[in-house]
Amino acid sequence: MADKKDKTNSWINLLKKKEYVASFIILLVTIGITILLLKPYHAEFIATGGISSVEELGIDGSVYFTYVESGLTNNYYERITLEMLYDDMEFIPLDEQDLIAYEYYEEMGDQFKEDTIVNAVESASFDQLADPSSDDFLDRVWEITNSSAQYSGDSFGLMIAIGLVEELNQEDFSKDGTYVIAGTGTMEADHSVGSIGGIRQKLLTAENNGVDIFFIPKDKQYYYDISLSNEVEAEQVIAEEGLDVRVVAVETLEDAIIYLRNLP
Amino acid sequence: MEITSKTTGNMLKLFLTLGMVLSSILVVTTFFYAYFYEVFLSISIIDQAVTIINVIIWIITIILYLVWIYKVHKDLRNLNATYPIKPSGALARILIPVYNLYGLWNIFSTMVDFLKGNTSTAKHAKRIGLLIPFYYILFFVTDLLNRLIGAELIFNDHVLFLSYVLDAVLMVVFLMMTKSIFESLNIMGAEYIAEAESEELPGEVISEETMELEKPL
Repeated sequence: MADKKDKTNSWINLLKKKEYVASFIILLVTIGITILLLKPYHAEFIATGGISSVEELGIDGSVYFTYVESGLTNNYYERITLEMLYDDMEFIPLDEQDLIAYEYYEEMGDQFKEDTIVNAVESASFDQLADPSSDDFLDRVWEITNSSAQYSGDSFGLMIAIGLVEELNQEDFSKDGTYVIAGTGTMEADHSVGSIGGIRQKLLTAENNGVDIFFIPKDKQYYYDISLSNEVEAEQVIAEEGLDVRVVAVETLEDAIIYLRNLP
Repeated sequence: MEITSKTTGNMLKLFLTLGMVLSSILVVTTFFYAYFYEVFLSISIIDQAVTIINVIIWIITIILYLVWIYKVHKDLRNLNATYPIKPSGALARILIPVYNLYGLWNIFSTMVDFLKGNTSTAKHAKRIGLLIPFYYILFFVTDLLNRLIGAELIFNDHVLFLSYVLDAVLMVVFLMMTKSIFESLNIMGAEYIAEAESEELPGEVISEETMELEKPL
């Protein structure tokens, strides 16, 4: 009993010292700031990234695909940290519905990625790899999927297909490094090029990395509101930012190949 | 003589202890980040909370440290007017880049030399002397590592984990040094008061004797 009283008295004595009261107040303020910073805040973020050669995916080609820095913030702390790391980070706040859609896309991300790789291998193959049940075909899909583990999303489908065309036909579309060729767009089963997200950041990434020719999906005709298409957004970005990169909209893989084979 | 650095010293010890606990938690969470990422994802909210608190506590600790080191040197000069480093000189030795390569070592080694001269603080002086090389090396190595990681010049999970371990060790070393300096100053302050009182005592006796002599009149 006496011990308990002594302990209480020692605590009271501690609180009588101004430095401990000050420390306690500082600690309370710190905890308050921490709670505020960890308050839920869901926003999709996107910033310019870089370009990677398809060789990184084990493909013997000369072209590049673009990647951007993107993801989802869960709280204000994550937003502040990202803003400190990237100068050009853009945040798009998500409401509950958007969040559900985003999470669904994230869950399905691996499936979409695999689909675009399968379609790219199938579209680019004109010989033995064309049979989707053959060992060679499955091995190639597995190799590319494995080599691309660090990338998420399916927007590199078109460039994988172009790289595979180079590999299968022993071609060099870069004309021995004369052209830096990159692009973005999914590869669909019918060889068409599908729309992607973050076209602004991908175009700026291409420009920043000295890309000469940049392929984008020719998708104006698929949108009721054409301002939502990659094609129209790209036109706006080129005008606004005064980009030097030559942007080529293509509807199918074959359009891109014909364009590249006709380069001077 | 009252030790002016006592209040700040108490706060600094408290915040360094807190920083040590937080740094140790971050060592654990970073270990999971580096080697068991799936586990880390389930505790990432703890990592974020501790990181935020740690950053704020770290900023406050730096401010307290500078105020404390200033006051410690003020106390040292009050104890001995010939103490070679002025309070402002101590701050300059810490804050001026490149000069602090010499200054940081100089501050604590001068303090050790001073404390060695007193038999009551010699034990603390010896301990501080042993800790200086660890503190000095850790201070600059952690600073360099954190700068390289912050600038993304190094991005390796092993190095990241190592930087958190070194941060925690630096906290422990610095807390030990702070405690020894704090204790030494309190001892010297108490001795100074005792010495002053003993010098005053004969004067009072004479006065009483004088009063007693005066009584018969």
